[in-house]
Amino acid sequence: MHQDNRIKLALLLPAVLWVLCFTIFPLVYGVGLSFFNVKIGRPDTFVGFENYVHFFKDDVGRKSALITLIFVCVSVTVQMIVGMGLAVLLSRDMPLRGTLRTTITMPLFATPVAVGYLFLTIFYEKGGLVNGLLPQFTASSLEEAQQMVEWVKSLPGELRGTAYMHEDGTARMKVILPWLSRPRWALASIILVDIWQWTPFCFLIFLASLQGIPRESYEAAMLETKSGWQVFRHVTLPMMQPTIILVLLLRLTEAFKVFDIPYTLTGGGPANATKMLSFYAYEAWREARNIGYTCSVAVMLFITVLIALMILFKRTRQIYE
Amino acid sequence: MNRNSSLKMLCGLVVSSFLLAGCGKDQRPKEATGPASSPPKSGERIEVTGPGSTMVTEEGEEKNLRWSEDGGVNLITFEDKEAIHLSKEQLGTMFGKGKQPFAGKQITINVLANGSKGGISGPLHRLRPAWQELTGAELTIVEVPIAEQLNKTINDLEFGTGKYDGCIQGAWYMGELVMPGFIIPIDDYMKDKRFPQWDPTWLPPSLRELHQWDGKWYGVMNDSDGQALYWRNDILTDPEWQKKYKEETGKDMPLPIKTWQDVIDIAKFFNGKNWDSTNREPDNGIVMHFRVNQQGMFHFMSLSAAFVVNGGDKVNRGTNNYWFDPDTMEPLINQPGHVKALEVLYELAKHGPEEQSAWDLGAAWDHFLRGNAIFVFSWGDVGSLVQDKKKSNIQGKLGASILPGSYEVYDMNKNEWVKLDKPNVVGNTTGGSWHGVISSKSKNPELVYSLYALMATEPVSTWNVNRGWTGVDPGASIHFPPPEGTAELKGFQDAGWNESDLKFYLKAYHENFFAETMLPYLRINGAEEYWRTLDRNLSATMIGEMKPKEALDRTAKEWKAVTERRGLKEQLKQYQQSIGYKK
Repeated sequence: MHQDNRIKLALLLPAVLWVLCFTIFPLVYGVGLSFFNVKIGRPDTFVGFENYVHFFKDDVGRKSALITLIFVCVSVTVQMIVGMGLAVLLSRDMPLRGTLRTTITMPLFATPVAVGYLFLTIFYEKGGLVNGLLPQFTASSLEEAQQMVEWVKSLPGELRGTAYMHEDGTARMKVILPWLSRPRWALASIILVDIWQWTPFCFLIFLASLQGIPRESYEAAMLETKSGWQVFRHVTLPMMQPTIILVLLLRLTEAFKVFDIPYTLTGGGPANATKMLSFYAYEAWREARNIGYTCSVAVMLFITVLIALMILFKRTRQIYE
Repeated sequence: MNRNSSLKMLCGLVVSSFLLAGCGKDQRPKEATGPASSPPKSGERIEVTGPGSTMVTEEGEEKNLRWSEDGGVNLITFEDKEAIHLSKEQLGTMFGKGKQPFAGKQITINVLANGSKGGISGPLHRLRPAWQELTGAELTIVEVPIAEQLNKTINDLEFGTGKYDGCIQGAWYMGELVMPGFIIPIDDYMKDKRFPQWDPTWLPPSLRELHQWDGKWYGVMNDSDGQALYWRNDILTDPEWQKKYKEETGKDMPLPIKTWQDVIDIAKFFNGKNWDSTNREPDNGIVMHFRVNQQGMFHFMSLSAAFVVNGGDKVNRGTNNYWFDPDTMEPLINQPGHVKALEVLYELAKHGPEEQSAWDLGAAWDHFLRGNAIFVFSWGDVGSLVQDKKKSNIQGKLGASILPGSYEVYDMNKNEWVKLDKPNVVGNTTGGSWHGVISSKSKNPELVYSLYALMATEPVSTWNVNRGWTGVDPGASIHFPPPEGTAELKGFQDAGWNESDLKFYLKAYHENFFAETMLPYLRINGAEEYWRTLDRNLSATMIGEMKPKEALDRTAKEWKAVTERRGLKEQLKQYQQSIGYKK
């Protein structure tokens, strides 16, 4: 071998070894384990596709997959739209622009576990911050306030209320939103927290991308139309498409793996209402210590994300071609 | 961004944080650390002294032991600097002034992650300096969250790394640790006069069983867990409320409470009324906790015992049994007795806060301690927490008893309901009864045992039980006053207990642990997995997703799968051993 090639090879070797040891090996090992019934310290039993079949037979597993999908779709879509909106807004000259930009990015730096516990306090149903801010309604008597409670309960959305005598002698009715105790609300809470934490990420990247669009493109477009929407649709969006795909790709990858926030905020409940796939896999390990089954769930999650990535990569290639 | 705008932004954030914090009346539970945050006063057996009592040598070295002339010793506790006196006999012959028989050795114990002044872990921290000085050894305490403890311990033992010399375990770990030989029996140590002395006969049979497996001792006495019924005695004994109850229901208030139906009737009457003057909002009849992956399933186990467990001399499918058929390992959780119990629990839950389906144990306790619920049924910690005026509004207003019974119980031998003349009242050891076990991989098992035994001696155990924050609840005869036991109420009172609350509390727990019929405890391989499955289906019932029968049928199906996966033969053998079943 030529000496130059040897040097190149030597320089490449650490990186190759790194990828082999810390990316390829765990991946292959994990896929391999998913075909076994694995208990630490005991002989493994080859079970073929049994772990995978079990997942599709298990309605908790199927429900987890569905909940994860709902979570990813809603959460990532809202993050992308709001992030883009904020980026467009704050790319314009306006007072306090710098302050607002900094403030918006702050949730990004919080630890998800801490965020989960923080929102546990905020969404606490009996006197938590959000429910504490809801308006109270005055009634002529306690009976009327109780009737108002019944009316609130009859509304869609599983709302609740409480009637009481205020210290000023008036009867009051307070609406209670069941943030954590009802399945749909609990899922909505997790989505909201995720949006709160990750919208700044989308915002930040979109803002950087927006600032990279040449001013001349806008000037040329303005000769054709005065409509800001038309300019956004036909100039900004197409020029930002690679960035949008990149952000979507990164957010999808992360969102599919969400764990910390459901773990701390709802514990996967009520019942199995907020049990995401990663949480489901964790429980399989924690309770049954069946690493094979846990790996099979992880592999399915990996394949799902991989398919999404491949579609997005294909689209990116089309754009560049 | 310039400096001015940064400053403005920071100020704005601080001000808005304060404003927002003030908007919601924070009713999140405070950390439940128990009542004895202020140092207790002097008792007779336990000499309590102030911070200056630690002996300091001429070299300035702080000493954690104070030897008496008769060979006894005062153990000085960490931070609190309280003295616990042990006689020479209690201390064991191995230890004495200047002896330090384990000098230079080191052990590691894992325990629940509750901090240096938290439940179960706290006592280890308090005793560590004195024990280290006594033995000459070093103790490393590793705190592990409850959800991880069993797995971490088992992984350590399966890999054979031997990182932990012992573990303060929950009783449900027993089967997983004993069967593969991960922990060692301690019968020989218990007879050995060299070690600190404690007497296993202090424990009632119900708790003794939890520390044993197949006739051998593995665990050293420490904590005694069981659920009792607590209520607001000031409200239930108030003639005004009794009158209103009769006016509204046409019946006398059912006191003393005998059955779960009585609890439902009373809870129903009080729920939604503002019977407590601590706030303006309506209060509740009862409070429970059903957040998944926490401890909601324990509510069901304790309550259902009255509808399921038939007492008697034998152990078989329908007698002194609850979980599985001991001949076939068929899950019994969906039998009519269990289903009826879940229906009762569901009915009872309707008279509590609707938020409780998302509440954990701390939130439920907090609700009761703030004076917002008539009933709670829970562990011994509630009695202690009530005494802490920083957390509780209800000191001196507490009533407590063994859990109520049922006038009908399902006979799983004959598959029929049995009507009774007096309620079927069943005691329980629901919970962890957290106690020390010794790893078979430990190189210093004697040293580990010396630590556990020291904690089980009468003076140390009583000290822990008197102070609720330790998480060590009463269960042994040394914790109860005469005629049942040998404890003195003064020890509790010096630690801040209200006398009326204390009498209710000790009577309730004595009746519970020494009850004629007990709820059998599940401690086979996979106990936690069986329980978690039940917990999730219970949660689904509480939010109305499933009917009780449907939830328990599903639980039974899932239990069957767990048993098959873990090995039917092995599980059956363990179950038979754990409940003492003989064909």
